[in-house]
Amino acid sequence: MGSTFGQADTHIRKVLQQSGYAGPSYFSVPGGFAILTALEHIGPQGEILSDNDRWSIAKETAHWSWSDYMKKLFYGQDGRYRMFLFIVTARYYGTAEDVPNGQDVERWLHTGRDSLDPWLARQYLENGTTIHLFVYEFSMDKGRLAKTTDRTQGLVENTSESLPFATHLKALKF
Amino acid sequence: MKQKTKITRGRVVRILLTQWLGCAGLVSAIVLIQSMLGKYGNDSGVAWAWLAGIFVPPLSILLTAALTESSIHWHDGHADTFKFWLAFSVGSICVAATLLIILIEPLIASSYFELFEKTSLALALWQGFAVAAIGAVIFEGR
Repeated sequence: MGSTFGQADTHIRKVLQQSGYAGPSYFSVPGGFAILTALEHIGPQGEILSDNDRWSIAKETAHWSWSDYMKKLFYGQDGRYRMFLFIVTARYYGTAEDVPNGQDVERWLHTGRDSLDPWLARQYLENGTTIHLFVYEFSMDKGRLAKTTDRTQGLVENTSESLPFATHLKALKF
Repeated sequence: MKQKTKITRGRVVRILLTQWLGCAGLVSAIVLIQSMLGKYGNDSGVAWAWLAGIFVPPLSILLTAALTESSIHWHDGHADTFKFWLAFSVGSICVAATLLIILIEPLIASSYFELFEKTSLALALWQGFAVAAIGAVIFEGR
């Protein structure tokens, strides 16, 4: 008897939890499932930020100060963000052809399940099932993380200045 | 019988013009500094368009009233109390809301671009009331 999708899920969840990625979203994909982490604010070199800043998509911070307020009032907000996507399936998943934009991210963040489908969790993995890991890196330009307009293009994949894959893997403690 | 203020119509126009010009100047100064410091990146035009949509119509009608010659009878006549306070109050709410939107953005999750989109219709409607109230003062007996 082989492993089940539920066991693969448990393994991935363990990796995510030990790195502080709680509450990922689940999606169905052909022949398996996908797990997506929340949009994570990261440092310029991909470093993990404090919890106060790590999960703030926009401008919320725990501590208020006049200097911080004036800085936000007069300067645009730029930043670097990322999401990890695990895909567990026996089907082939090559390099993503479609670059997701801000609208895709918004849709992903609001449409995923909070746990694996119980029926799928009991199913055994097909032969050749692989865990694929994708890292989506984004840059925020002048605070643009709008939801329904073309300006969501401000949150775009930063292909020219993206960090090395290995840098991101450090966040997962691989 | 209509209740008249002790304020002349000419003075009412100056008060309303000062109110709108003052706030437009203050907000424009903030947006100008923001634009110069790169707050809006290459899209500062979005902010200026939002601002112009709010301030240009009332300022246009007030400047026209201030710069055109009126009869002494109209200029020195007393303004209607209700219409004056209506124009002043509606205008105050409009300019205060505009200023508040600019100042509150750093404290909330939405970006300026979201705020401009979400508030432009409501502000345009309220500004319509403000222009109508100003017009009621300016054109009465003119």
